[in-house]
Amino acid sequence: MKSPTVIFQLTAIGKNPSTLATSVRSVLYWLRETPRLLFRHRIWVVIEPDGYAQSPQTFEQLRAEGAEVFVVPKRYTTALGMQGKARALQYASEMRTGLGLSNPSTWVYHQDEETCVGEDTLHGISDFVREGRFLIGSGVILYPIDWTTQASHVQELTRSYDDFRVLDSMTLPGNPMAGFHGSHVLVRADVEDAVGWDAHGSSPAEDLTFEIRLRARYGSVFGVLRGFAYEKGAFTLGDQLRQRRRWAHGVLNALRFSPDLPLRRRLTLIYSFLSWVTALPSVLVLVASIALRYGPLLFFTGVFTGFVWVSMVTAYLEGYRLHLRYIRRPSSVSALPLLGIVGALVDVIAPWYGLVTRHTRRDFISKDRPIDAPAPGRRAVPD
Amino acid sequence: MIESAIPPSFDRTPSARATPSAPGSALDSGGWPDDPSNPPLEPAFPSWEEELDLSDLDQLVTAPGDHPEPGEVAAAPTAPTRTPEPAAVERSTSEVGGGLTPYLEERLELAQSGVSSLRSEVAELDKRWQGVRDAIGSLTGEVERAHREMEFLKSAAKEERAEPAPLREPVRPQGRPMPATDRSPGRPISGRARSLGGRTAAVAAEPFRAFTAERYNQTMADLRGRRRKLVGWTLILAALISTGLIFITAIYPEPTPPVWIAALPAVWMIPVPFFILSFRGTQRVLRANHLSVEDGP
Repeated sequence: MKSPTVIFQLTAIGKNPSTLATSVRSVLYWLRETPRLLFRHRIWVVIEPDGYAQSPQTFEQLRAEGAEVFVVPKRYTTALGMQGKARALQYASEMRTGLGLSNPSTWVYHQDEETCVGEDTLHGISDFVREGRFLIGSGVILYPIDWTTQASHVQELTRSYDDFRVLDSMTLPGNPMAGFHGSHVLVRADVEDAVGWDAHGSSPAEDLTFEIRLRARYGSVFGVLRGFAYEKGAFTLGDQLRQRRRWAHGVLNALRFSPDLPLRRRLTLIYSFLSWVTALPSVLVLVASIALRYGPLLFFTGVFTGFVWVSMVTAYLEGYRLHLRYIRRPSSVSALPLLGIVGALVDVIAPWYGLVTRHTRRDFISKDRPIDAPAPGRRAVPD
Repeated sequence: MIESAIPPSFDRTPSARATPSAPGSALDSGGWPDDPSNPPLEPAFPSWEEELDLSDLDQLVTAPGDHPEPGEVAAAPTAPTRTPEPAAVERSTSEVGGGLTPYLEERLELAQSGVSSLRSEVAELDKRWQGVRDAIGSLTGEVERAHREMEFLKSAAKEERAEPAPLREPVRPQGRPMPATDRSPGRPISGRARSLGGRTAAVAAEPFRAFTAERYNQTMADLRGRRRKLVGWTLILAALISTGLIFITAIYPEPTPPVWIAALPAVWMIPVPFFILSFRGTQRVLRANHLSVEDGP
């Protein structure tokens, strides 16, 4: 039986070369250090010409270390005129087809430029490929790299705990809670290349569009990928706001430009977006009911108020516990609730910000820490 | 077919052989028996094999519809001076010049189909050859990578021999932040030894070294162990908070707000199903999935 091949594909513009190099080296390191991996591997770095031009020596060094670096030609266009990361992903897909790698024994593990892998990640990939029960899998992402005690990083803790909800929804027929993310995803090459990344319009959230089209074509073929992926959160609240705005635009874009989106899935996507959008009015209603003494409202809302509040606090608490073995214990634990509230406010404002503004290229936030900026409270793994 | 074109005057049958005592006989000369210098001594009647050959010959050279009867073939010429072969050649030449064999198109089609099948087989071979070349390329790449890994291992072994490995990693008192100069990675909980050596500075830039399977398994085991407690405490606290809010609302009655205010709870309630499904989904994933991975060598 032919041994499967896993392509660790890192697709990015390439303007964060230091972060990207760390991610590639994490793959190289753990491929070397992890025993009994039941797959062959290749490492692909797919970047834009602007990214390569920013630091060619970094990419050539990665090439010398064993990665295959591909620069998407400037003149390359997809059939439907897709732009951005989806264009690069489509280029990689066509390259795989041309190289004869689009087959059931080849898998593609998608990484963002800040996605590092660990020993557990590779074991999870090996298990998933060996079991072969599903065509695509995703897992939980932690954000311990360069983690510091600041609002945007505290807010990322909840994303990790929320990933369990995402995994549950993703593995259910129809994906009722609209869960998916574009990194820490393992997909069989022939399936990915059959679906493709090319679509109408310019999708700022190409992962959601891809998931919709894959599900429409293959049905419920999603499984849970064991092992974490390790990323880093937005450095500033401004970056966090822009990043969430891109997500909001991605959902709206998917609703507008996905003709193969079934009605049921469209409704669940609308509901998910509404839940996010109404978070800000809910906060305002709460404040108003206290300030303007709308007490009787609580006869109706009070039944679920406790559950909602406890769920929100649990997400922060459990998210923090997931990261506990990977981040430095914060010097002031008491500051965490306040930072969490600030981070949460940014998240509830973001969809409204997305409704009234357009996304820009700055929405792809910087992940390389400036060279001369010291890392506040440098992250260290505890003993 | 070639043999069938041999004129009947080429005697192969023993009965048609010239007498061995006659020098310069057709057989002795070794040449064509119809050599003008060696005319056949007597005409030979073709045998039944030659009759069959002759019929093939006739089919080749005669015009369509003009097929010689076997009887006609059997009637060999009697004139000794006649040279059947040149005549046959002349007959065939003239017939070919006069018209095409009816089977030419069929034979051309056969040849064409043979060529096209050969072409497709060549294309298949070319594809396979390309596959072989790709496999060779990837094998070459892997051999090169293996070579680099060997070099890396050799250099690591040399470094370890050159620098004495610490007996154990430094013990850090709890609560004290790590000194800025100590950039070693976190000690693996299993105690698996990792050499610090001269690579501590490089390790600081490689946070992924700490992302071990053991850490992951312990993290997930802790979460799964807390799962039932999470359910219990969530429901208990939620009930307490909600009861408290409703109780406060009841004991501190306030004026009934305007009717339009009644729409606000509807807005507030929209995300509630999302929270309920999220809670249920998280519990289901933790309960149903074996999330641990293989740990250690």
